[in-house]
Amino acid sequence: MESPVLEINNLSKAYGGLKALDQFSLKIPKGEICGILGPNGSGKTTTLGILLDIIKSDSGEYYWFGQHPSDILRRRIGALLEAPIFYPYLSGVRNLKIIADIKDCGYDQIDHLLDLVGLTSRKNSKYKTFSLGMKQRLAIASALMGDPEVLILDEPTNGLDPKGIAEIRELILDIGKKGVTILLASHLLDEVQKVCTHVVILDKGKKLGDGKVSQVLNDSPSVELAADNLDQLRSSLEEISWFSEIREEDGMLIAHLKQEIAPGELNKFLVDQGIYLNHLAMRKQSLEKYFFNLLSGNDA
Amino acid sequence: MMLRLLKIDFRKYVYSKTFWVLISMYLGLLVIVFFTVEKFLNSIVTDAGSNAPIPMPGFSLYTFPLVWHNLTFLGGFFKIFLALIVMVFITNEFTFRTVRQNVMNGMSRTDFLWSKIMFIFNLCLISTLILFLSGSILGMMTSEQFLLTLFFQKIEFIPAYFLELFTFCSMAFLIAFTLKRSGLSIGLLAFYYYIFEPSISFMLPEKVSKYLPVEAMSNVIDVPNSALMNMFGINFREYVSIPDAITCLIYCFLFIGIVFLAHPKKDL
Repeated sequence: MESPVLEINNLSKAYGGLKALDQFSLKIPKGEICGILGPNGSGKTTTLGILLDIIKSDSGEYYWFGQHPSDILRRRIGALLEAPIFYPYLSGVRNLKIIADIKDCGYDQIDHLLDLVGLTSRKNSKYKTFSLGMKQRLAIASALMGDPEVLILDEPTNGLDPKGIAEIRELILDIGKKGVTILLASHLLDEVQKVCTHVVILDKGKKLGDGKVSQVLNDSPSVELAADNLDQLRSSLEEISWFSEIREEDGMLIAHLKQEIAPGELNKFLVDQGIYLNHLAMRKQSLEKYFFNLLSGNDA
Repeated sequence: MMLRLLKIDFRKYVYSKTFWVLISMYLGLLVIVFFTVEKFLNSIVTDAGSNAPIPMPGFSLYTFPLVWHNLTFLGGFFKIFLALIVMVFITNEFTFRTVRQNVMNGMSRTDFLWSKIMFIFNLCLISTLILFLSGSILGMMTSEQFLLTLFFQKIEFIPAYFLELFTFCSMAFLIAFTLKRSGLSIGLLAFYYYIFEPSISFMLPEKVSKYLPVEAMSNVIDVPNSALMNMFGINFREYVSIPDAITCLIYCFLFIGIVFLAHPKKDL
């Protein structure tokens, strides 16, 4: 069996008395786009920092490509952590050349990458003259140097305008389609949902849950139904194959739809069955709500 | 391997205006001092000698092989500028957080340290080379005839000068990696060099104080003798002190060793 691209076992890190990361474990198979979702200060950057050897963990271990971490393995990883970091007095191109030298990968990619992130016209300007958005774009270009097999992105759309955000997300999806494994940390639910296939939810250094985005952040539309006789309603609904799950909540039934249906059609079907609804409403489960539910559950 | 590290490090300075300004100021200062010191000293002596009962002997600093001792002794006073360049460029990596980026991108922490050791080595080498060239030119201009034997006599002052610089820069290297801020590092080094060690050394007996780092560095090359000093019957050591050179070497290993032990364990 192919070893996972990344395997993390019980990683912990404390700053003083504060536990930044607490017994964190994770496995990421090749080609997965995994989001680490958590509020600010939840341990996302600490985790990524440890994986890149710039932060030392107190305990636990991790393996890249099934091997003990090393600088040579790190050259197969492209990373963008927190704010972009470059030599301010060097131009974009010269900064990328240093990275190419470190990664041992040659300079031929540089022009293409600068073009990809839309910095070609400013490639010879000093880094310190760049706007925040341009800095972020250069950081993304640097993460893509040397055709990495894994991409680590920490809040990659930070500081970008809406158009830039859309472009970068598009770019990440394109890269993901090429089979690159991506680990993306974000506090934006919407971002993780749009980009990732898998998600880990992190809060106060603890893993709260993980799985496929479609499961963990279940966003299939559902219908709220209520009638005088809930049992009868339920058995009628179970007869048809429109729903993936039916459950009772606050005196009504919540039924998750497999596909979109018109409420009128559903109502007509139930009337034909002799059931008269006293409540029918379509609802889209709010991911935000789920996320915050999960976080507040940890608080209690 | 080493070439790769050299290349990476080189790219960081070669386009930096600050680097070129600092290094040319340092080297320019050295050259100006080397080429004017004899005239300067002689003008003082002549002034003082005009009232003296006996004629004061003038200085002749540039003849082979004495030029090596004279210039290396003089050049030693300016090593603080070299250490300043070392500290500015090491602490820059921390203030810009680029050390983080370098490691993330696949540079091992020890490779990073090696690249900085090579940076220091090269700076000291350049300074030594400038001194060697200045000495050669001055010596050839002054000596009546050029003899290779005289040229190479006492040439050991050149590697001794390199060792003195390198030891001091390793100290700067340790301070820079420990404090990570340029202002603090420069302040601490200057305080130690000008105030702390001289006071400690003053309080300790000589046989102990000679093992202090700055003391050992400056003892490798003693004050050169001059006709003036001879007149007063003062005689300084005219050769490189091997025991002090060994003390310096031990300090180099110690300063660099501490960084190599501590740095790989730290969060960046």
